Amino acid sequence: MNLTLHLTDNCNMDCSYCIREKCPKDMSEEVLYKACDLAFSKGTRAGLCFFGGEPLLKKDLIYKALDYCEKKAAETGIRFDCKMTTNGTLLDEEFLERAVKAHLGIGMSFDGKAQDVCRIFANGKPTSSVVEEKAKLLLKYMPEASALATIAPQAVPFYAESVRYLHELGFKHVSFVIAYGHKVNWTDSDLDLLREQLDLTASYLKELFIKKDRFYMSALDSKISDCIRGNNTAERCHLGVRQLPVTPSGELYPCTSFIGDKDYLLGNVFDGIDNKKVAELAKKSSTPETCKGCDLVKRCTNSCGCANRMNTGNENQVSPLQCTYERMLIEISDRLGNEMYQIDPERFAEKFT
Amino acid sequence: MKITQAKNYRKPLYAIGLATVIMAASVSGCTDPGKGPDYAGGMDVRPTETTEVALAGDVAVAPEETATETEKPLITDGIVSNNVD
Repeated sequence: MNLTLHLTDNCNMDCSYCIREKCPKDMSEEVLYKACDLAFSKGTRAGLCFFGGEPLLKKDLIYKALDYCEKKAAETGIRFDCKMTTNGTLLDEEFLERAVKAHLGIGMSFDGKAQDVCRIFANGKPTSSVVEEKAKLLLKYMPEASALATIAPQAVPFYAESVRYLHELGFKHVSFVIAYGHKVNWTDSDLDLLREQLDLTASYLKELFIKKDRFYMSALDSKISDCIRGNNTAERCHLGVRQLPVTPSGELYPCTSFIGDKDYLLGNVFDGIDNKKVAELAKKSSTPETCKGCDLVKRCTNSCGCANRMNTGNENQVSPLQCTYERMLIEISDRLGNEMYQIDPERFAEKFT
Repeated sequence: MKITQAKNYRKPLYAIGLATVIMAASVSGCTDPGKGPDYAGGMDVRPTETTEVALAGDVAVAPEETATETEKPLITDGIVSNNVD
């Protein structure tokens, strides 16, 4: 099974949209090894994503987990996959050499040209120059590494420019999502500007497609590939099913945004998963009433309990923000998809299938 | 911003055009390579990968699913940023 390990609640940055409370709580080795055992206890694969806080503050734990899980995979024959989401500031050559050996996928949280708008060090200093250098180092070792950008309202004017910048820096995979939660306040004018920026981004992606430049930009490209494959995006959210977060003290929750809410505590790494709680949660999951009957119900993220909870306080209630954003994304990605398909259907098929 | 139900939505041309390609691949045994966990706090950006993942609990969550280790294809893309890290 897949687990997200919150190795620490501490972080060396202070991002304006971050919903986690920083504190000096680290995962113990005992919890770490129990979590690794849990990952290997179910299914045909074991997956870990190292996370935090900032996971690279606990490099020692990552090394220990990799050593332990590689040994366990060899003993059991169960495949082991691992990833890490990091702010990148603490990356170094020694770590990257070990990461390459372990096939550790690294997603670097990097907001591109908007980096210093929201993502600053805990001491208030800007992070962009440090992160840019670390991104170059990361790409030297892992050319397929991903950049993960979170766009808050104040970063919207930099959206298209950031996509271009990250591409020019060498990233072939970038993810752009909008910031949710109580620390951001979206307005209609922000969303109008976001539409303009998404249109500019679509034009850039079309330009790269014409140049045969291999580049994948979620959120637009993922909407296209999901549509082709008939993936029901609304079915993606399975709280407590797909990937459980493990807190530094070993508690298990359905998703990161639920951490700390005892009503959603699903067990711990010592006693295992509370199956009854998981079943109860699964029963509660449903398509929001406001979305039943919408033609886009299977193409949008209306049932993402995490987003819904952050925006409305209820995992089964979609917000006007999400509805507006999703409709915008689908409209623009469909237009982009049609244009690329008409330019070169064969290469389009190659890119998206 | 408001919640608005879309009506008269038509499947885009590209999706109709490529449906046959997908069908051909699926019947010829061309399956995608697997992948592991998603990036936490963000989304996984690889469009062509799927995987299997075990249910967290030994429970059935849908009538057609049986207890223990019901495996489902993992999403190819995350949905939401948790705004963390």
